[in-house]
Amino acid sequence: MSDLTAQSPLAGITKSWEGLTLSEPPAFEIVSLAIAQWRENEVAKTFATYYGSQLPKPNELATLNEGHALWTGPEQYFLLFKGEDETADLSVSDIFHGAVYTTLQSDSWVAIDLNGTRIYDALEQFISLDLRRAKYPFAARTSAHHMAVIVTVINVNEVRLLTPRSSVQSFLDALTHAIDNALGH
Amino acid sequence: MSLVDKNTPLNFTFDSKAYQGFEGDTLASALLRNSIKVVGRSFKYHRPRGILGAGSEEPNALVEIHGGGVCEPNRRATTIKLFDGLVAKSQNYMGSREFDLFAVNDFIHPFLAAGFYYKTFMWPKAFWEKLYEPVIRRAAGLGELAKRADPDNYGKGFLHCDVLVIGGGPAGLLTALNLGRAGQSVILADDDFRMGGRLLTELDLINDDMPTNWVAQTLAELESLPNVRLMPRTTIYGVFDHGIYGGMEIKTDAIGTSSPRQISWRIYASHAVLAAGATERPIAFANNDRPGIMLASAMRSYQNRYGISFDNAALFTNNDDGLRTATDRIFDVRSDIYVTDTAGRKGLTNVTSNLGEKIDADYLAMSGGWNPNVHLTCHKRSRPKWDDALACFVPDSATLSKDMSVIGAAAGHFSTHHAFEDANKLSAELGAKIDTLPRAEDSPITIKPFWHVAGKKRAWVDFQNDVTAKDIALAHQEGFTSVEHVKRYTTLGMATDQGKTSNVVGLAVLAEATGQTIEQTGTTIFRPPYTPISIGAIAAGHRGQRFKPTRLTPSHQYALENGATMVESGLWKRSQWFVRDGEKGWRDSVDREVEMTRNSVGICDVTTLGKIDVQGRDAGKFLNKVYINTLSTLKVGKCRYGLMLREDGIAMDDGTCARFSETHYVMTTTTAKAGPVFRHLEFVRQCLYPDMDVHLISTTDQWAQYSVAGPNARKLLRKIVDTEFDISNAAFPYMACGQVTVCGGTRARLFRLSFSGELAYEVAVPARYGDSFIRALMAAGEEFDVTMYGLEALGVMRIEKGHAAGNELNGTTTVANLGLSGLMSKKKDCIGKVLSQREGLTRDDALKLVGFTCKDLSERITNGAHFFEPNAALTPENDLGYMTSVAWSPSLGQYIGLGFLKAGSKRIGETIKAVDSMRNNTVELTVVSPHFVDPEGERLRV
Repeated sequence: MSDLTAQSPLAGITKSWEGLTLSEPPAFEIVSLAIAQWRENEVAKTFATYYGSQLPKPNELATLNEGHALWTGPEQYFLLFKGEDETADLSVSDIFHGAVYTTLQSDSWVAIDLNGTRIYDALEQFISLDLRRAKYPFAARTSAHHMAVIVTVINVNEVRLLTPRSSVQSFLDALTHAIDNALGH
Repeated sequence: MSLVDKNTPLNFTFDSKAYQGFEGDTLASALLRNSIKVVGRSFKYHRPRGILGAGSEEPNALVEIHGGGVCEPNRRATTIKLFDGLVAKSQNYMGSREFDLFAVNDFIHPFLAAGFYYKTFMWPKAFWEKLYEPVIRRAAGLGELAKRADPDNYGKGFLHCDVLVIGGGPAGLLTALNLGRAGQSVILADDDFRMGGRLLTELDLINDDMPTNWVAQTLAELESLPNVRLMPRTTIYGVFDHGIYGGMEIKTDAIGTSSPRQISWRIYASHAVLAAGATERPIAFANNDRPGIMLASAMRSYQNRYGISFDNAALFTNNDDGLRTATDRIFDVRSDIYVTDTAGRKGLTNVTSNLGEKIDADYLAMSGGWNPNVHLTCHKRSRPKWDDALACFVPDSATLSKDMSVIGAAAGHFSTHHAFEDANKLSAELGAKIDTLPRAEDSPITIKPFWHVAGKKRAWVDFQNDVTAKDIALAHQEGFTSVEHVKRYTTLGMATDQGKTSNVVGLAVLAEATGQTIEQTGTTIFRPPYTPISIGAIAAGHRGQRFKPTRLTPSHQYALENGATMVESGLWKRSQWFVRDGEKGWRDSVDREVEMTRNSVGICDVTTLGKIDVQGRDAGKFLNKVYINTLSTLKVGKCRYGLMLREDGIAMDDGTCARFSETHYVMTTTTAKAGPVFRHLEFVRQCLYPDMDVHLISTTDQWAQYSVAGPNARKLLRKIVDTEFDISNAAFPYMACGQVTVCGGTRARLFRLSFSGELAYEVAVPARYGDSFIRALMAAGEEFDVTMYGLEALGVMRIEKGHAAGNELNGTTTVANLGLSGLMSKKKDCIGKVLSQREGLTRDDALKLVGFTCKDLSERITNGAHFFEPNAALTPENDLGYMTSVAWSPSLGQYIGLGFLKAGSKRIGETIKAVDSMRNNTVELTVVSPHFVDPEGERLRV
């Protein structure tokens, strides 16, 4: 048992506006999975068998047995698992027997959940993507206010934003400013 | 008919005097309602000016809005929606609006013709900047900027639609309705706060009913459609590539409110429909700028939309449309009756006709025809063409962008019936099913082109810039024949109205002067923005602390709690030094941190260094391509220093590479170059070597990383690293690396690296544990009197050790300059290798990195100084190099420096002088080895 204490980057923040709630979800793990060259078919089969879903295409959010997966680049994916396990990358690697290269990314990214009926009224003042017409479950990598952001639309009233940990305070400030502008203080 | 709500009075002040208007008024209509004729002074001659138009074309009524302790100048009174408490002031005078001392200019106007400042004020030369220019700028300006920061909040946003309809007049409304009913995603934007366009102004019936009723019904249905977004007070100011349109939405004109005042929208549209209507143009005749003279359509707008009556008014027109204006007297050039002059300095009193009669008139409506608002068609290089029958420029479908259609008056189809027809036809083309065509007026265009009443007196063409017909003729007389040159020489069509009322009249006058047709004369180019937009709205929230993101390390809070002074390092905030009680200046803190680290142990947060995981069967091969030295032979569990070059052979970045497995390397980069290096690696991977099995991912944010340096570093880490991992010198020697656990099981990466020259490790834990881990490290180090050290101490120790850093990897230096030629592998190729061996970069007398100390230890050396022989003249030819890094060395008790000196490595022990012209400092130096402390590297290997 480690003596160290894990720190939540946003201290579990929750903030509400009329029609919108912003919150930091409980900790979860992100594993980056990159497929070794020439082993794409093997990985696709194993992935489908183990996780119960095809590898997601660009802009798709695949629902796994234990979480979600999204496409992040050619032959590269993020797997999002519920619960805390700082060795999740090693566990995923074991499943594929050397056909993938994994990296723990949970600490690189911070999640911010948005729930409510007015998500898109707010996000249209923050993110350039056409989220109102996005076919959910949806995922995309983009930027907002010069900061990287991964947008996942889980269902029509539930969006999760992932942004780098080091700049999350600036991100949160910019996001809440945009929401204030759109929905009022 | 009136669309103002007289049950809702609004109080406002103009030039500090209280007035009352109503909900639905603009400031312009409210001023007219209060019988105010003079609203400002003209640009150059300071002539009293009144309201000319009723929309964004207004050239005269420029005012300041005050609020929140600041003012916003040059706002058009015709576009300010009146609100309770509005404080507005007129501008551009010395004295008052009614009594302007600068009005003397009007009496010396013969000396102030177009381009007068190019011909006068030439002598004496020194007077231009000190006297002439300040006086001219004071006399001829458009308002004054607030001296304080803009207190307002601005937003920005992004919208997407199938069709963007620009203009909410009859054509735009019906198009939006048709497409909205068909289920298309539609945005309808109009710069007015009330949609309807000319239907708010004219009285011609639609479906046998008032046009405002048709507008209200249409808007009600549009509002009920979830796929239609109505955006009043939103000007589409620019058309850009890839179907992107700039829209500026004005939420309020009040200053200093907490909600956003304006929102800058980037609108992505598959198709745009330009239904922006047309702008009426004036006629140039003597003294046509007097307060009380306005465009005929503006007068109708004030009469019909705002319910203001104009007693004793006359009309001067060259077309039937002008005849819609209810006036007492008509001058129609088609009957050879026209106005030749007017009188009344602060308000029109009478007009003189070509028949010699002088008629009393308080107002004069003028109509010289209509200019379709084609501006937005030009933003993607389409050029309008002249239509002789309509006497105006119309969009040229041959050059028009395929994703834009122009309908209604903007296309030169001026009747309401024609606008509706256009809307239905286009809607059908865009896939909508069309039901009916509303019944509306279909008056033919009857116009006699008539631009200018010739005469000796001044006839204004451009009201905003005080450009007269004589100015244009003079410009032509002086050799300016191109319309673009005439514009710049006379200022015709510049400033806030961008010539909306003046351009075509100006062209016609120029054509008259040149003897060409208007078509041959051509037109100037319209560029964004269509109407003025505020810089604040473009910047939106990106100012102050929001100008750029800030990156914080996981131990940021701990650093602040322990006296850290922060410094910006790229986007990162890093600890510069840590102040302890009794320390009087930064040097006290830095010297102490260096001494404590060298004597015992210090900890530095190095999380900001770029970390890139490089994985794949070809990872080693890939790294061989990007580094000058060989990485593929690096043993698992080992680290190696690496230097990478740009393609031109110049050093790009350096760092270490650790190998955790056969297929897994971890590269570190400098803090500043983390992004560019990652981008470079991706380019190499995807474009140069796509066949390699290699993947990259940034792990900079994933790991909180700390350097633990000093003779007691190992002792400290033995308390941190779990006991099953042996970190003794034998088991974990210099340049070793491994994956370990710390503090009872937390996953960690351990590297035996040293930037300070001491026995040192870098240890990384998942960022979630960063704060907890630094506290654990410091607690474990208490018995060794551990210190945190910041960027300054880090810099001092690396200079003492002779390590190159950003100052030396400055984008101009080569492997040879850095003294690292031996590192370049001869057995393999790498990016930049060939070009790094260019003759000029490898010559014997090339700059070499060496160290410097002062001959006189009481002297101080400075960064940026240039080197010369002791007795050489300070000429560029004698320049021997420059100092890159300087520090006070607590270890040596003197200033030391690193720098590039010609053939430096051969000049060890020689004396040169360092000249810092910026600081006026010249010092004699001894050239020494760059390795000041522990040159044999014994301390870091213990």
